Amino acid sequence: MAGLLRGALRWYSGVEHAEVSTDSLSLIGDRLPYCLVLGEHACGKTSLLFLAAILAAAEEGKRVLFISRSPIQTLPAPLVGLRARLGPLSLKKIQFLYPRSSDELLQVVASVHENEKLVPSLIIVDGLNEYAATSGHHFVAHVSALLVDTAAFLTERFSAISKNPEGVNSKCSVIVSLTLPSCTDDETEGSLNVIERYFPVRCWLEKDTYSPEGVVEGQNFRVYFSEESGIEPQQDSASGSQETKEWKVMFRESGEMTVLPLSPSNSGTM
Amino acid sequence: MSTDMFISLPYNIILSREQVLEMDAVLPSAAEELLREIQKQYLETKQIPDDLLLALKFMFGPIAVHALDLVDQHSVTQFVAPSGRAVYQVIGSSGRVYSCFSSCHYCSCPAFSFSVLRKNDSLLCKHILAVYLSQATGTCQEVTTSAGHVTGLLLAKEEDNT
Repeated sequence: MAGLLRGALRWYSGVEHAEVSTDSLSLIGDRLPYCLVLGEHACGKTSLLFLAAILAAAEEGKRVLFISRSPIQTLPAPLVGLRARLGPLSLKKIQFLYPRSSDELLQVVASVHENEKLVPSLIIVDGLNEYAATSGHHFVAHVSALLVDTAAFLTERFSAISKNPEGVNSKCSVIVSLTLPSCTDDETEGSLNVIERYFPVRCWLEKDTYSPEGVVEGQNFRVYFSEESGIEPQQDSASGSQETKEWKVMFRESGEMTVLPLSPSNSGTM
Repeated sequence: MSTDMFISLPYNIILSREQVLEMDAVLPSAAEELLREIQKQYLETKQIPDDLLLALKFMFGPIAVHALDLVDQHSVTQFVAPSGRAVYQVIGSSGRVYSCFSSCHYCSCPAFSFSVLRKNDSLLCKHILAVYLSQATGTCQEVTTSAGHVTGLLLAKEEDNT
């Protein structure tokens, strides 16, 4: 769901905030509604996924299933400032589930279709590596394929009952995040290769070693999307400009997060 | 470019060995085109012509014959829940039962785990190919069942079969 993530970054950055339409949040650059978010430990993946979930629920009215191994006790620090803007109803559209084991995770995803009244149109799995750590490649393929197959089934169902096949609720999307270990072994690389079969669109959060002047001490990350050949990022139909391909995310010591778009002209100077 | 890099097939399906070995979790377009031709021919003649069988063997290697055997034996069943959620069950040559998904490549058999995922030298296993072929030839049985049963089939794991 690269489009939703791009929309979340644009929204958080404040850039074109007033012009971000509900269409642009989910449809731009969104040929495949499945996206893998990759990055090292504590680089902001959970915050980004949480932001995408909130936007999907609050701005698009999507029902979201947010799955994570560790319960989210409080709003991630970077998003605390948003609390005032979130209505209680939008958070109610997000269902949080915390399966403890890989078997429980499979059970949760496999049984999504059973509750016909509460079907999600966005499924997020935060930290798939925590489940995959003790399971082999087959588990990784199983859960990835189950997520894709479930989303495909729900999309078909939504399209069948929706009067607007291109509308925001006509697709079920999946975002999965994966923490990359500091050093990869054959097993980890094998698992990553398996997941990438099912999620060809990737969002990377990489530590940015460039330190511009005046930046307060903290951590900086580059966010960019890589897509398989044949799936090119689309032009923003609203503004006519090329979709932003890179972003900079800066975390202060206080936990405050700042998001800046990097256009091709300033990606080297930001 | 040497001539042995390409094979020319009927119905304008021209593909290189590199295209055939492209790895992904869905069928490459050349394979989809071949299955469409098989479907069209089977509808008219109730059999798969030799040239398309040859193309199948070239594209998928030794598993093509095994997949065709499974189709002949009516080994593929699609289980559908009242909601429409569906999953395929294939009875393997040993009598063991495996689950295959509808929209992307996954099979609970050991060959999928080994040859496809680990060794990366196959696009799919014979059970997944049998599902595609049974769809193309209209020989897949469809059974309506409970939501819980479909969930159980979706959860079928590799070790369930050992």
